[in-house]
Amino acid sequence: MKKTLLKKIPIINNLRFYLGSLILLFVSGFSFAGALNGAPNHIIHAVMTNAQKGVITIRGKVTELANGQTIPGVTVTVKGSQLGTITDASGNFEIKASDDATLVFTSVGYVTVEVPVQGKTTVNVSMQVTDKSLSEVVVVAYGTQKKTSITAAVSTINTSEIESKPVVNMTNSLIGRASGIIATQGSGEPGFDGSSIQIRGAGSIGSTQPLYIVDGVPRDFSRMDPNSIATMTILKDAAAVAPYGVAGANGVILITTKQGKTGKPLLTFDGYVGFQNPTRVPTFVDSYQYATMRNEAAANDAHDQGSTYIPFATPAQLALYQNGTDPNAYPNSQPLKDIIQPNRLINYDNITLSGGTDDIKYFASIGYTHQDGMWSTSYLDRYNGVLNISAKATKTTTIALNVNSYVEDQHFPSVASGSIINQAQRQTPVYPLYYNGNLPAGFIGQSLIGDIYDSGYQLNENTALYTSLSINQELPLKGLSIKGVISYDNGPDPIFGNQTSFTRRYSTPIPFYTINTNTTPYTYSESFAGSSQAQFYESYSQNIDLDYQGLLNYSGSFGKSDITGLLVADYRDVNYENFNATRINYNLDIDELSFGGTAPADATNAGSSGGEKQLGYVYRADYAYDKKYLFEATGRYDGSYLFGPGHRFGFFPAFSAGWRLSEEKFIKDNFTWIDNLKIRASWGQSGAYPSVGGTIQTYQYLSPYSVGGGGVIGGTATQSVYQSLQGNPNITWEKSTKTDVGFEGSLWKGALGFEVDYFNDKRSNMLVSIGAVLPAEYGISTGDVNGGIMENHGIDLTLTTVKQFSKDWRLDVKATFTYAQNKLLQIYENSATYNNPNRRQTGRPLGTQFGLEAIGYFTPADFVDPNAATPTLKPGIPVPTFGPVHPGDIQYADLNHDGKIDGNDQGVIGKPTTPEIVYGLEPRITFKHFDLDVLFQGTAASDIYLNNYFVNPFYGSGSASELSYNNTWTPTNTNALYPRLTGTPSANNTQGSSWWIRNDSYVRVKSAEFGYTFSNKLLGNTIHSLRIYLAAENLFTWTPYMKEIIDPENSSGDQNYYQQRVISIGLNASF
Amino acid sequence: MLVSRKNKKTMKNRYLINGQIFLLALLTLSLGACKKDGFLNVPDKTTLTNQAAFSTQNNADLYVNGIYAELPDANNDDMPLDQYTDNDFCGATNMEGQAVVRANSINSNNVPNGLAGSFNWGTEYNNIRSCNTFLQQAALNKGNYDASWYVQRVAEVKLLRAFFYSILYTNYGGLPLVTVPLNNQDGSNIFTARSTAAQTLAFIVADCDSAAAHLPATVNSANSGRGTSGAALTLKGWVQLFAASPLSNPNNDKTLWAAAAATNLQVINSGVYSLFPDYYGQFLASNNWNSETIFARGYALPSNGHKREGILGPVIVHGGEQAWGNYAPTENLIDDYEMDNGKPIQDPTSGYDPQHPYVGREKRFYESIVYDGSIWQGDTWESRIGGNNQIDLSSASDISNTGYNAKITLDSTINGQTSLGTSPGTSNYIFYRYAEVLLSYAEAQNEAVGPDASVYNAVNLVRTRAALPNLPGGLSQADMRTDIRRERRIEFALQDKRWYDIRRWDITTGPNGVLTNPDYGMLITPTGGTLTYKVIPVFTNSFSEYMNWLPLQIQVLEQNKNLTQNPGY
Repeated sequence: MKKTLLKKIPIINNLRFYLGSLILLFVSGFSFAGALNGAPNHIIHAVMTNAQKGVITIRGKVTELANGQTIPGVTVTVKGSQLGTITDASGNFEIKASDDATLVFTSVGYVTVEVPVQGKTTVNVSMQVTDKSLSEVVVVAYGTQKKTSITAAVSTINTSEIESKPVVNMTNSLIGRASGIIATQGSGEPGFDGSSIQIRGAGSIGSTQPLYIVDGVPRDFSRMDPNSIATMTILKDAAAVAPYGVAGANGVILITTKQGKTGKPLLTFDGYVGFQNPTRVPTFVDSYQYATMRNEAAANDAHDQGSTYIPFATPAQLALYQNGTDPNAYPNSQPLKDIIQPNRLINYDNITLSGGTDDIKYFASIGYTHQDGMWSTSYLDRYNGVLNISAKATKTTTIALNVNSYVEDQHFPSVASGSIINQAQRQTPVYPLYYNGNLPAGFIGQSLIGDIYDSGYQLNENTALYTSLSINQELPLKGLSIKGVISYDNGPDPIFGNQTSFTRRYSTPIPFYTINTNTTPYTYSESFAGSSQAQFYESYSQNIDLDYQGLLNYSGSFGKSDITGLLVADYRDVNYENFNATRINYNLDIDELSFGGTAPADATNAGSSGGEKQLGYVYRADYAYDKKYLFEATGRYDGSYLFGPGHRFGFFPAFSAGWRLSEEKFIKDNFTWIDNLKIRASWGQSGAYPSVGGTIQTYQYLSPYSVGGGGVIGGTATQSVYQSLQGNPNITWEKSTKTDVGFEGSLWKGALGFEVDYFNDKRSNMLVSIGAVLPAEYGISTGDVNGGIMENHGIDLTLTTVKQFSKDWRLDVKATFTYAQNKLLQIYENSATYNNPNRRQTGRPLGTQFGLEAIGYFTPADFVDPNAATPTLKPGIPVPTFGPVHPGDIQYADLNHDGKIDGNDQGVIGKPTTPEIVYGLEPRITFKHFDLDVLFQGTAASDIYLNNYFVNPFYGSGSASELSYNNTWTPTNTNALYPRLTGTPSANNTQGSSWWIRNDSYVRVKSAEFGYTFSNKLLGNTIHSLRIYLAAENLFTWTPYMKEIIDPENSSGDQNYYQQRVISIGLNASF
Repeated sequence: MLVSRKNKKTMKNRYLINGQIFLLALLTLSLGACKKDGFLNVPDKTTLTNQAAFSTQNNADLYVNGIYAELPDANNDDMPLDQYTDNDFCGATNMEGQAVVRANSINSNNVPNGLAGSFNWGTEYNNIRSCNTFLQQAALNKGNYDASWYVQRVAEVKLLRAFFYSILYTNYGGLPLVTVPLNNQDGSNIFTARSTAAQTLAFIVADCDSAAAHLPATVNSANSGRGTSGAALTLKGWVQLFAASPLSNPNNDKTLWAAAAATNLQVINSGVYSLFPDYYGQFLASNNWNSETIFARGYALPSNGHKREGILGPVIVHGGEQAWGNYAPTENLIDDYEMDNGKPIQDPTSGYDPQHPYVGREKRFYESIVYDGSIWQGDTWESRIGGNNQIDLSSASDISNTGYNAKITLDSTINGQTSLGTSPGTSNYIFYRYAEVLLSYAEAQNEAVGPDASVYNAVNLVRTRAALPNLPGGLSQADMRTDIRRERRIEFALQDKRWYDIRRWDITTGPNGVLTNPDYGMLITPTGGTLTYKVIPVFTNSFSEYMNWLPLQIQVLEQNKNLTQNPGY
């Protein structure tokens, strides 16, 4: 927008005026409604009086062409009139019409049929299923569009496929089901098992999280009830995301909730019960194996130190480990496997009531979800409620109220699961879980059993209440309507991460026992880990989001031209606050805030508050000529509080065009097997909030002094102020320039459908630290600057096929494929890496893994005297600088040829951990009353780095993986997977190197469902439909390139809660 | 806004007009808001502006509090500096002492972090900037403050700045001397080259002198923790001693020693300090700010306590695992404790019996070390084979790799697990105490002048508290040097001083280099009723002489092209 233009127009810049006009918009909506009510009534009347002569009664039945089943609800009208009826539950109809009339049969999902009456009183009709994709309406930003006329790149998820899958977190339902989605589920812990989602890969070094929009408002969808979701749309290119302005560059996931449909009240019950087991749990050595390895390590250490070999276990002790006769002193435990309980329950129940008349429609749903964790002290309960009502207040006015809410109670031990899993992987098999079967044992000052069962508890109660009230008013100018929406949300903010939640954590001293084997019988003494007296923490936080939208819609046709237009003003005002309190030194075992220790120092509390504001103006204009040539311009003028005064508003335009080849005469005439064929292209710009490491940066335009804790003066802690940042007043949004070319079509009546897109996203203005260009002596963090540039490009592809082989057989297949590769173009990396071509990150994909290049093990021939305690390498062999090396230690390549191995020899050792390729293949077979639906999903082109417990025996005084037993280097086993054993993994061998890189490509049976639908004959009148099904998630996983037993999605940490395999049985009935 | 029209027939037009008004209203709004974005203001409620931070004496006082908080939080550090030396061997993989320093692995990509991260170049320059910002801003707002307050706080901040510089100086040598907050927006040069070591020393000395001139000799208990003139002089004396020592003074310029002796003597002559009678007790919270403490970091509950006992204390106590045991003193250290008759154990007349090594040792041994058969928290601690803390040669647990744990600086009334859980410790971390001034004086004076009476006097004061006899008279300068060095090792064992001492004395490498010979432990094997003691090597140390000076981190060098790396890297 040009500034000169602005000055000439009266400026009204007052918030109150803005709100006032919104209210006005609502009020006027009502007044219009009143005035217009009843206006078109006379038209219908006129038509009815017209059809009187030669009238006969015609009866008939409507069936489906493919299988002969009757079709209820088909609209039967007399052509050229408004007369009509609807087929009943058995597909029968009866209508009065003149004997020379033509009947028109229409039904959603079927090809319309016209039958001349020609005096017949019985007309039976068979209807053919249409190719759904042609009539499909797709939810897009601030509205809907017909799939065939869309010029933007969007993909949709068939929500009926995910409704009955045993998946608690909705973010885990997307991968493989829509092209463009790259998702990784890092954890299987109830309440924290959401996937991190990228749309078309990583486009930024900052946050890559897409924007989530539920019913038009930014909202978190992960905890929604799957049965309440009507549509899921993935907006991918500039034309699709430009209406979201400064927040759209990472793509958008649009969700709409179900609305009632005209018809009798339909009561539906859907529920499943299932069992969860981890997909993959690393296996560690047993106590005999452990002790044997320890002996070998001790011998190596004694040799290296020129010291005395003291075996970890004597032959007699080894025998005791093996025969298990003394399970307290010589136990053989599997701490990790032993704490994981098998077949953990998962349960979901939902009751939905929906229906409506032409005037009022309603959809009400209540859901309950229960998910057990791997141990009994960890579980989740969730209650979902949805109530969507819409009413036609007048012929032209629709009022709708949407209420969507949940309460999720997460229950855990007070010790975090990460710490428990870390300890379980670390604990050696020579320590039991219990002594004498009932005394919890400790290992390195921590007790697994105590942590899980005796550490107190934590409860997180996360709640959300999403409400929207909207009024839509058709205006007298045909095709013009206005809509006002006010949303009040009290719940999580998917963009900034604040939430409405209540937390209680009660941490008690954790008892555990240590054995004394010098007494007979053995004696056990009790110790306590954690605090010596119980502590209690309580936190309340609330995030309230008010969102006001005013929409002006237009749609009209002029000859061969179709025009639609949209104008939106969208204002968002978020406020959050947090209060928390801690009490320590509980003498009483009452877990309430009021009963902690009485000393002033026993009580602390804290709190904070803040907010966000965003204001945007959206436009979209579509022009279609002859339904063949499609043009669209869309965009947003958007402002955010994140930026300094004078730098807050930006303009994000996009343009797109499409050409429906299939509508051209030469195609229609010559290629009848082409149902639909379209080429489209888009270009545009969108924005992303400036972020670093995934966290959106607020107030970087200020140079603030923060308040914190000061030094202890006079024996008491003081308060301090300190300069926390030298700000960047010019901070602005990330700018994304997206180009997309797409080709989509449907052939042979849907036997092959395809949609393929090439995309390119150039992201600039990414926040980069200028730390690398300031001296380290600068002494303060500086506000990041918008200097980073990267590029991301790739292809996404969807293939579908629908084939009805016979009356009984039907096959639907959907295949998705996404490939995205990015490249850093400018990131201001420091010159140490930039100037070294091996280490330079610029020009390489984000997240490229760097390290030393391992070239094998040192052999005795590499040393002057290989048997020396500290052997010397022969001249000419590059010397590692990580301590002495011996035969069997890892040898690295001297990339800079300086004769020594150090950090300067690093180079690329692996691809990023996020896969470049994600694909899914979902066949769905229907045979008579049976249906089978399987989703195969896989990834390719990614690497992970394994370390610590998984591959380094005795890391952190811990255990060793079973894979490492007999698989470490010895003079007689030189082809081993892992280097020689030492009591602690040596610094040389634990350097970040290619030795520990694994290709973690995988193929999964991600989900599967097998169902049986009872035929109507078997069911009485009370049950409308009944289906039972068996479903599974993460059924099988193949990782062809990795020997280590680790789930490929959560393999890179010591503290990751394992992904779960779920098998469930479910029932869906409607009444 | 309402449009009134008399003619009912034009109803349709009215709707149109209304519709257009909405459209217009929307557009107008858009344009309005474009122009003035103050509409989107959301105040940041967590911070202050530059003006507010220094406008009042009270706020500026809070700013100084923040600088005190930047003193190294050593009581919460799990890698004490003695791990870098031959005093302590903690076997855990992640310990920098054995993984980096004594593995000959120091390089510009791998710079040890030092006590509580204090060797980190960027961290110290952050702290230095905090000081510089105060000195600059307080001067600008001087009129808002009491004159005496201003003078004292400026002196305190100069002492703190000197202290931060001294950490870098004693590890890296000459430094870029930054005296104002650098500003990349006013065109001034922000890329400062390193000054020479002598210039750096002079700068630190000048800050100390300025601080000493304006600081009080003592502070009342409400101000304990603040800098005093004694602290400033002690810091000055320490950097002068460092500068006079062989590493920095290879030509043995005696005037440097004399300067160090003079400054330390100034502290002694001030009469403010005296040795606290109880060597072990001086480190307990109940004796915080005792007569011997010169400069320390304080701790306070509820949220500013420490967990030193949990991190560093003995591991298995009363059958339970209580602490991480990160202090595992080596046999090398144990062997330097004299017998209670004042003779080193190597002296054949000392009465030392290798098969009864813990009998008849000097008092500080029993106050500093947890050894086989000793009592900790009422429990007998046994590192012998089969004992409750059996020596762990392969680091299979947290239990000591050497057969010893530490006692000194740890409060035996604090349970280790409680300590880890709640950080209940409030004992000071002492940076400087009077015993160091005495021994520094003795060392400097011995080097500058020779073993005169004042040298004997200073050393004997320390020995007397340890119930040791005075040094024999007539020692040569070299013998006196040996005795002072041993005295210093023992008096400050496990107190983060030896890393500096072995480097400045240049004894890390060479035939008898303390970081090129192995660390030893004590293997105690019970056979029947008797214990057999065997000293065994537990870690092969390796170190290069050039590592006496740490390398500048690669990023530090890369970000400031005017910097030069230390030799050898």
